Amino acid sequence: MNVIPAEHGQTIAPLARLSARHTTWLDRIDDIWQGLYTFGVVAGCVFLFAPFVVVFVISISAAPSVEFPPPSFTLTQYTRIPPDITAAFWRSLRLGLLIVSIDLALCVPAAFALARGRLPGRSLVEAFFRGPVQVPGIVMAVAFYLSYSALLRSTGINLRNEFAGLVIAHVVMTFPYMLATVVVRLYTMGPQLEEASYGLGAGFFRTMWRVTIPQMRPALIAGSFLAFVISFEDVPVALFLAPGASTSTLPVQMFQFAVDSLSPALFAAAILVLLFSMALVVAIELLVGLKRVLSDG
Amino acid sequence: MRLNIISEPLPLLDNYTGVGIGVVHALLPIYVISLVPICQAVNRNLLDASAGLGATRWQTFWHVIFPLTWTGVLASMLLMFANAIGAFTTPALLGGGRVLLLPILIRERVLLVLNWPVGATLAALLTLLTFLIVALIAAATSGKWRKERGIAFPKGARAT
Repeated sequence: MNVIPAEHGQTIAPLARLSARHTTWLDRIDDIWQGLYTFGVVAGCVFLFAPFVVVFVISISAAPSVEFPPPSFTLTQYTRIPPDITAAFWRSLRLGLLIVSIDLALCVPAAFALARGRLPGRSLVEAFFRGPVQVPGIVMAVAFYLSYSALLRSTGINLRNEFAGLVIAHVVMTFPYMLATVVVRLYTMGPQLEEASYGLGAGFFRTMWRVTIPQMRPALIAGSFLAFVISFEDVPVALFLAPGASTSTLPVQMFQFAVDSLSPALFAAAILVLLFSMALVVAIELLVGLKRVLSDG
Repeated sequence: MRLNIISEPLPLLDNYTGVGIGVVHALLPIYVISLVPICQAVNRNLLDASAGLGATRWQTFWHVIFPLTWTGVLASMLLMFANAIGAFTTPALLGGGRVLLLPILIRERVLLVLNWPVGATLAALLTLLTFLIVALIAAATSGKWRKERGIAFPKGARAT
């Protein structure tokens, strides 16, 4: 502790620091630290928000091609969004909702088995189901692509460039997130209230509907949100499994437009998607609180 | 995420630096969010005690906050590393196919060159690397440290 001068060690330091006479080089370091801190916060905000500003500015550009800064401004880009992108948006939305329903139907029983049942090797099973979380998206994409190819060759069932193939892959990808959220909730809430319900004469379904499900609701909403977002923003898997214009999801469609034909209308679409995502986040914040979503899984 | 990626090609297209900035941009919010619970786990009374004993903010950081949080921060950093080596969308768009990172190379082998065995091998390699890092994270946040400091395994994220 060689850096603390004697006066700081012996007097009541905060009082000493209030008077200018006692200003030491350590306090000056504090000032520099404070300055750096402020600078870092401002720089971080600029770094994070500048790209969105650029996207917005280009989305209201009147130029036919992407120019920055644009020569003049108009809102007509928002009417020129390619129909492929609009169609892909609805397809993504449908996919996301379907994924959420399948996940819910699979996860609730699975979570009960893990949290309440007496499964042999339960932690192993849990670790196995958590596995896909850590696998990079591109590896998942290759794995499904090659599996579907093998399936096609051996049985003639085609899942490539099919909605069904995408559904299966996304369920596998999102399942662990939903499961983790629900299992944690089941562990923390404990079986006491359900036992009380049974004790008061309620049957299984009544208990489930009036006691268990209401208690689990925040976790179910949080898990659904995670599953939907992961499915909605996935590029690598959807790019491998459904690249065609008639099957591709929104991010894949936008990815391909960005690679092949960048236009201000694409930026307009991006802004609309951004607004949609923000509305989703606000809705979740109002429903269960974003913090819970981000900490439970 | 998708949105800002599209904006980035303008100044730093098709090179390693541009891809690097893009990936940092995509991961930074996730990193910060994963650090919040770690910092919240630090007992506020310790900070007050430190200030009361005359420590400057730098001394408080170095002697109190840093020793209490470094394992969690390290785990978060490793997690971001795992996310970064598996990142696909950002490098694919910003690199324009010319920055050959592992995920980009895998896509090229499987979809464009149709060399499935090489693609599969590379994918297995990437998985192995990621799992290695995850094992390191588990080691860093397990047992004694986790109990003492209340640091949990950081949340996985796949946003790139």
